[in-house]
Amino acid sequence: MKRIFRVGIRRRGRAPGAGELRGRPVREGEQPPAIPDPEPGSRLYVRAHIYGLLYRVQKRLNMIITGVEAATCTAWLGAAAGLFLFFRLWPGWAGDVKIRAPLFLWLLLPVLGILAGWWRGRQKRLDLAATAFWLDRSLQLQEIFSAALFCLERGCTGLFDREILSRAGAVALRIEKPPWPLRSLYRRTLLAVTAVFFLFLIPATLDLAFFRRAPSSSRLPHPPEVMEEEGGFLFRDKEGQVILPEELAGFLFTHDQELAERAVDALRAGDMKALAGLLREAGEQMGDSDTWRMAAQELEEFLAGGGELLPEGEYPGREQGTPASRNSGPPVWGGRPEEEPGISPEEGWIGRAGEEITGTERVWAEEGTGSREGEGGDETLPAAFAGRAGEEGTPREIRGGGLTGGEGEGDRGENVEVFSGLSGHEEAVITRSADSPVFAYVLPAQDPRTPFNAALPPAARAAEEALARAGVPLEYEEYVRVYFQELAKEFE
Amino acid sequence: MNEYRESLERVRKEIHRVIIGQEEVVDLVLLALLCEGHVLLEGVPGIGKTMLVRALAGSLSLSFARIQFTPDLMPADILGTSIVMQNNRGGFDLQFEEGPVFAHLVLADEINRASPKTQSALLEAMQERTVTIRGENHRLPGPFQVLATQNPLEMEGTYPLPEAQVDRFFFKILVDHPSEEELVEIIQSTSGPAVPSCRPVLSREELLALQKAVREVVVPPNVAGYAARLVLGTQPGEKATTAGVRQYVRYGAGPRGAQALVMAAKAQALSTGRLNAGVEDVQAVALPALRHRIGLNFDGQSEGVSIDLLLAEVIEKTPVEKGIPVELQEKKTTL
Repeated sequence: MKRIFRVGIRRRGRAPGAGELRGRPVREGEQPPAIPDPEPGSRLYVRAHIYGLLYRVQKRLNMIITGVEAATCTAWLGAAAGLFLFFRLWPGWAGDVKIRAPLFLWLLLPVLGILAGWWRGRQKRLDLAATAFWLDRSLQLQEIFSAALFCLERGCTGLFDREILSRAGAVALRIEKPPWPLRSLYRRTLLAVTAVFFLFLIPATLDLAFFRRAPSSSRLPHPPEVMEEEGGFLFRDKEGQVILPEELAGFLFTHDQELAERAVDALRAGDMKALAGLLREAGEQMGDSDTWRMAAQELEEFLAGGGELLPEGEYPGREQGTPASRNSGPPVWGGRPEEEPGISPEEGWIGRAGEEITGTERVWAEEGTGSREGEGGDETLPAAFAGRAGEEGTPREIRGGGLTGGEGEGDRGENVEVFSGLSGHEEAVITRSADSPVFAYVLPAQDPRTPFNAALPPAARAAEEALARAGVPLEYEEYVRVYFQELAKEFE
Repeated sequence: MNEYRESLERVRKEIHRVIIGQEEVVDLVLLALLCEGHVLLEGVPGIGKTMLVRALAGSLSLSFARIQFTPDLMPADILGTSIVMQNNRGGFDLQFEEGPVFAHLVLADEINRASPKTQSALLEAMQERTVTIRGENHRLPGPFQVLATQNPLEMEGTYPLPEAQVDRFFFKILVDHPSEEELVEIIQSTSGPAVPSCRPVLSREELLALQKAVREVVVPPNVAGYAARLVLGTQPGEKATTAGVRQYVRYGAGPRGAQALVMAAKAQALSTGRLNAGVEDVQAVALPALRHRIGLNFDGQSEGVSIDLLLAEVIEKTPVEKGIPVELQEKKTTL
């Protein structure tokens, strides 16, 4: 383009420099003539104008095409990623699938989109003829630039070619600002915003755990059954991890539910003889089956390998070194230490180990405080609990232990998950048998034999906090709320 | 450039001294004249078809002949015949006597009333612009244009034009009834003592120059491509056509139709003072240039499908800005 324009100027003749006029020196006092403007009809002049405009518009359009394609590809990739996450992580579809999407993956997607858009944009690049046609159509120029370009490319051999070039050049001079294809920009920009939403907003604001919150079952344990259950003994394996009686019994007597329940009672009572009797009974039932031998062997290994039977109240590993004890957030229980309940089975407790529930009942007690904004006050838990908890401002002594706290770090073997709040209290213990989850323990970290009247307020407060921070699946919120309301009536 | 436009304007004004209203019909006839194309005028009796052709002939310094087609009209009555003439030596020679087709403007009135044999006699004349009699070719005078009229109502005793002959017409123009105002003006101008008539305002040489200029009008490749897509869109076998064409059309326009379309677009551009044809020019002449080149199938005929509506749908659906990404095709803005 520059070359063409230079040629056009050069053919107009060299401008008289200072000191010369038409080949002769300029006389003193004589003004050199100004460089005459190129005639509008000059072929090279209009040619330069036409090509200049077309090249300018072509460059702009190709940039827009590339940008729009990049946005489009990014949008599609973002939508695909969002859909992938949605279907992959939705519990009802895929169960507990943990996908950790690192930052570079999220950054890789737009980069890939931009590269794909750049490639597609190159495929759709406009040539000069298409640019001229677009300009004609956009400005309703009756294809004057297309015709002019056609005349230029065929060497201006037609009768009307010069006239067409002259007209096109005049039009080109009038076009100071070529139009922008705004409609496409608007539309594609919307897609790009969508892409950004999928790519960055969801992963940034909603943790991936969000997708795993919803349960795949709609059933909850019946609250009274859970609360009426009494605690017993807990076990600890070689690694020092706590094993609940239900787990152990379920592991030993997978074939017989009745034996498993009796084993749970034996384990809670610490009656190993009874447990051995159950094993023998299972052996008689099943003959010399491999299952029985394996169960017996596992029990022997467990006991011989350091497995320790502990009273359930003496929860292991709470004193030091666990994530629960490292937590520094506000305690769930705000009462005074002297109000800590004694450990007396006769007084009742709500340390609940072994409540089997059907479905995938999970109680989430994640980090976070404060009430949920925008929700009505009539949905809060009984004021008695809240007030009592609020009056007792002294943080409760936390006795950390063997349960590893923190989300995702509480696995005890493959079948147990422990979720702990910022307070360091173990708020929920979830075990899963082969077929159904078992709701094993719901309580701020306390002795299992905590009296009912002492254990209920912190539990209710913890539940309220969980409700306030949306830690409970939406469809179970009302259920949990009613549950504690019923307990409150009993408490009063 | 202005000369062409002024010349056409002179003829247009002269014709409208006689023909009241019918601006579109007059314009299309003039476009066909510029392209040296034959015109088929279709309309009910008494709406000025013959008068239009007469006015056109009167405004041009061209020879004019009128042939009233009847069932007993013979080809020789149109083309001419060899007759025995006595020569100077007292002997007799066969001498070719030119028929009425040997004129610049030929009005074939009610062409569908003649037999197919007579109709086909016009084929060679219309396409080749020559007449062959007894092995001798006789060139017709240039410019040569046939303006045929036909009545769509009275079908008894008529012979519909064969497709091959219809295709040789450049335009098929539908002449409609005049409006109330136009009718009043017609009454006033024709019922007085002085009947308006046309005088020649355009010489043969000027007309030939105009016809040559039309061929010089530039058609950009994009516009030619659009015309080609438009013509292909009338063919039911094409992928890029409409559902209506697929369902009701037996055959669509061919290359001759595309030629006529582009030539008419050129003339349209020239008549509006432009030296290059555009998409709008193609669209403006698409109906008269293509409507008679499309044949309906049985379904189309039995359901009374309008070819004009099918064509309008094709024009609407045919992409104009092919090759330009969709995202760049936006609403037009005026400079």
